[in-house]
Amino acid sequence: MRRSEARATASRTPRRGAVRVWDNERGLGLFEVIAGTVVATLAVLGLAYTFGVGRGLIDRYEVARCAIGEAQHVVDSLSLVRPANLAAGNRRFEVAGVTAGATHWTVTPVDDPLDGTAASTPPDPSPVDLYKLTIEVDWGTGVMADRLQISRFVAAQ
Amino acid sequence: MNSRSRIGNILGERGITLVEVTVVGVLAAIVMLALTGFYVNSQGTWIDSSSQAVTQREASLVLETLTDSIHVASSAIVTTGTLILNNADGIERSRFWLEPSDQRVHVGGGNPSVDQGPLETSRATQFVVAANDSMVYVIALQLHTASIDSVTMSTAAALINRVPPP
Repeated sequence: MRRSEARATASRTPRRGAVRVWDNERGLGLFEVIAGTVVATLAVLGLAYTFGVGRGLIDRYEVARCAIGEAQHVVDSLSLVRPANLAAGNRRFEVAGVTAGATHWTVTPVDDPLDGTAASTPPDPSPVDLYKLTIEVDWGTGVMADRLQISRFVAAQ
Repeated sequence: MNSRSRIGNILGERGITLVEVTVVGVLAAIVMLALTGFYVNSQGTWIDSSSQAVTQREASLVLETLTDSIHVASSAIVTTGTLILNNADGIERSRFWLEPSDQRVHVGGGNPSVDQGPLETSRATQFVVAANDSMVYVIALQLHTASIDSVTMSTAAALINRVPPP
């Protein structure tokens, strides 16, 4: 039988081949089942891990929000101090009465170039026009260490 | 092979036995139970996390509202847990308190003060404030999520518009 005739015969009896395939189904192999189970387990574990990570991040954001409140507290407290008495300092950062970290602040004199710079001629009569308050709140340790920093300018006079 | 013999081939299949059905049923039940448990746990974790996030945002919102109101006030007094903020002329500007009937932090305004409703939807169990001539301290604001979790925050704000001492 030539190839063209064989192809024509096969195309005339397509259901015969289909029945043979049906008869020859061997089902799933053990390794296929094991591989499928391992993949499914990894997928489920991965999904569960994302939930845990999400929850951890939300708890981390809670401390971050408390840190914002702490930084605003320090900024508003320092804004009441006479500029001449401003100085760097630190205090404990507490969340719900428990120490979570530390708060540091620095005071940096700033020369506003509007009234001339200090090195110009004639020299600036008041080279300290502003104070820059920088508040840093640090909490956590190791890979969970976190930091928040805010700044505010206050007039020097 | 004619069509009858093909059907006979198919009908000649032995099918599945009771033992096979039982084993598959037990295994399917175990898998379904495990999946259901995982789904329920995941759903609980998701709801807890999202309600915790919502409560944190609400606590921040309450603190921001308080801070903004304190900044524009001239003086503050705290009586029986109620923070009263006044204008420079001594007339009450706004007040904040923990309303025991619905356990929410309420805001009031006007003179006489009218309750303008709660600031948040989360249940509040602590609203501790203190004030002096220049600062208002929110010592503890504790909000509760729909589950047992709670969020406690604190801050302080200056009375920027305070009347300077003579």
